[in-house]
Amino acid sequence: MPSDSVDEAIDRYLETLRKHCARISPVEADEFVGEIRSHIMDRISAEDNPTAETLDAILQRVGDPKLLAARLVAQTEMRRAARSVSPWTILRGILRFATKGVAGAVSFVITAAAYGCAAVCALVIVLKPVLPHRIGLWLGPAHTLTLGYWDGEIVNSQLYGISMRYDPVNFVIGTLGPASGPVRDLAGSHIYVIAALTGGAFFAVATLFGRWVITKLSLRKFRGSLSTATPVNPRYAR
Amino acid sequence: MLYMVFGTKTRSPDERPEQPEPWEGQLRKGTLEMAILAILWKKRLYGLEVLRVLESSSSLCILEGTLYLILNRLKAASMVDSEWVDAGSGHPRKYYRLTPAGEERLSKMAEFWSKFSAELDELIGPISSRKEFTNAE
Repeated sequence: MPSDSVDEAIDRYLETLRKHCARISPVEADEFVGEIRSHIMDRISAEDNPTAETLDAILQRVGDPKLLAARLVAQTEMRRAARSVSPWTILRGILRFATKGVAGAVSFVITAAAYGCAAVCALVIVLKPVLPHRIGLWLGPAHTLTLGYWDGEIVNSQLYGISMRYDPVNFVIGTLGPASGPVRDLAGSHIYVIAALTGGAFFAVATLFGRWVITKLSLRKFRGSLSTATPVNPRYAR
Repeated sequence: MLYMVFGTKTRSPDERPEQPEPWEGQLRKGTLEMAILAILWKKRLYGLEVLRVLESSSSLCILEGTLYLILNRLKAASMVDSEWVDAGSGHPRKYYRLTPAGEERLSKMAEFWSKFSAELDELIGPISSRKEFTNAE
């Protein structure tokens, strides 16, 4: 096989690999692609007269470039997510597992709920100066405790936010439905401190839990992928 | 469609080698990381050298590209360090070596493995000796 054709085939393979590494940093992608190139060159140089079949076999032993890239991207993103403080990055990281198993799905719901509670607390802090008589820590009808918004009604009043009810026990982000009776603000001007502390706690719990889940599940997934039968495409040597 | 399993050469479906049982794969997977760290003990090697040792001294064979994913992960976990070296082969090679953290981790793994395998040997001892006895008959 002419050396130009060998180079072209290798370049085609590496181009595919590089193209599918687009979601990670160029430095990380170049490093990986460079290493695979070096590996292929070593394999080629061990052959006296590499034929198309030899090259085909070498590239197949290295693996399908799309799958290799997908695993590298997943691995890199998981690593990033496991160190991140960004809710978006962490949720996206867990979402990868949410579609593949019960543990991932449950973890996603728990993390999203905790971030939801943190978001409600942030909204309370932002909206309190704008709606001072509607935002607060409310004790409403039917023993409903709500951190959030009260619509101002006594009959069929609605409370939105983080709501808890003791009998029957309920905890929702949203509303527990209309109820009639007096509504009392328990926090007054202390609402800022209460919302900041509660929101901070929810945010910290969501972040730590999300990172822990990603670390645990990605390790399991990574180990599970090591010996998976991998379909390979022989066209790169053609 | 061609398939490759455990880094064996690709063959036609008729020639395809017998695939390992799932339990066998699980056992191998669990020890792969330790084997790679052990290969790098007191040595500086590049990917293909690691792969060759892996293939020659154990039955742990993997898809070749996967090795670089594992090394990448071990590097991110600060278990190994790497550097590009132009050793006159016409192209640079990336050499890996264990970091102190990697050496410590490997020592712990080796210690655990010795104890664990000794206990298992004791458990499966009667099965092995019974098999030898049957063969002798």
